[in-house]
Amino acid sequence: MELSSCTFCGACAKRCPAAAITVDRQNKAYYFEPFRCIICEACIEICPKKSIKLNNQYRSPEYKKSTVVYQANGQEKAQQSAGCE
Amino acid sequence: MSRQTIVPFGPQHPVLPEPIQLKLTLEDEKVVGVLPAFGYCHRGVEKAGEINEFPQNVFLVERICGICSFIHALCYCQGIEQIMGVEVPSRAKYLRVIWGELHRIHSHLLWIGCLADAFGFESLFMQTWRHREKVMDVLEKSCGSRVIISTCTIGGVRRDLSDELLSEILTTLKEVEKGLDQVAGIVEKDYTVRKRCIGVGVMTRDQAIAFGAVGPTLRGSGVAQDLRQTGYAAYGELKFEPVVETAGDSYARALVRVRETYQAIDLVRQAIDKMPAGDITVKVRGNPTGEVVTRVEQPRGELIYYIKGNGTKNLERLRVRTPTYQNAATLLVMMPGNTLADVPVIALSIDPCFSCTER
Repeated sequence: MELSSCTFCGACAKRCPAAAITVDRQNKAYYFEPFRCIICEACIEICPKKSIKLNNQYRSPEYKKSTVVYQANGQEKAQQSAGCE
Repeated sequence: MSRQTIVPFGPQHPVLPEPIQLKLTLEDEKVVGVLPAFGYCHRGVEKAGEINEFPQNVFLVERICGICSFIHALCYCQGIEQIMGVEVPSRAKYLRVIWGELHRIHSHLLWIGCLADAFGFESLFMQTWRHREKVMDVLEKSCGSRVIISTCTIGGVRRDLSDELLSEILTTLKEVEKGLDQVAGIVEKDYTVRKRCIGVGVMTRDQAIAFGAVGPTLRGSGVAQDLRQTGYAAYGELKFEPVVETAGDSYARALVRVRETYQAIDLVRQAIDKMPAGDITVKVRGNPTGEVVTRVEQPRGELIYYIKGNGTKNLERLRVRTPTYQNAATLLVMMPGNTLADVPVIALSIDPCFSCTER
């Protein structure tokens, strides 16, 4: 996900069938839950800035379900553990 | 009068692909009554369909069933396209036919394997599924996923098939056909298969029509009805005749499915041959308003979708009527008179898909 081109419009969050994306327009934050994602690429298709990309790597296994947070205002990416759901 | 016992068949049974309980009333070994009890697979898809926005529902309905997932998506997309007046490009229609028929091939191969497993013919089961693996490989190569391929979308399809992939599909189909020749020969001629299937679970033509059977269950009893004759997607431009058998027993239904697999291979070849160049999708804007009923031919029979939109992004109602919903009623007429040992074969001969039924 390219934070620099993202406008936080929230179209991807609306289109996601698994509710894996949450967009906070006010605070310019983008939350992605990898374990909810069904890799349908709907977010990639709808993004007007083509900020989201899918690569050929399998997701690595993890001990805990986490939410990946992309926060604008200087920071590139912060990984925040939200615990198991 | 002999004593009657009620034996529960299911919900967990090795022969059933999904859980269902059949309460069998037996007199000694003979079945005199059957009462199906559903509810083990219900996931509230229709309600979820109202909560989701209508483009998200494509991914939802695909997951109603793993074996026929593309055809659910196809029916839904067709319905929405009809309400919104969207004309799908010709190439997309042919691609939909190809993927739909590939699903039919792998579904019927799966079924033949399950039937063999039902009477303990494990080697046939394994061999059939081995041939099915070739189809799954083709699906994975073309769409990235073996089972839920997520290629149908409102307005067309999301992926194109290159010429190399198309010729690879043709090569794979040649191998599948060779494997199918071996399997079909066994299904048609093997002593065990014939002994366990001929005369088992008989349903006459009138009973089939009265109980509203659909799909191969109906065609095995002599009624030549196949939804593909209505010409949705690109079927109007392809040549095919419904496969019909008249005996009405499990053997007839098995033969119908075997012959339909050959027919599906032929349809894919025809579609690849006639495939036009062009776009694979059109842009769809706006929201659906109005109601529509669409029907397609799933490997198990007639699939009906009723979609009602009210001009917002959410649908007002999504109703799915799957073929096993209808075919389950035919069990009431097929099972009585047969022994307990025949019950798994009869239950499988309607090609049950209860995850579809209970959504």
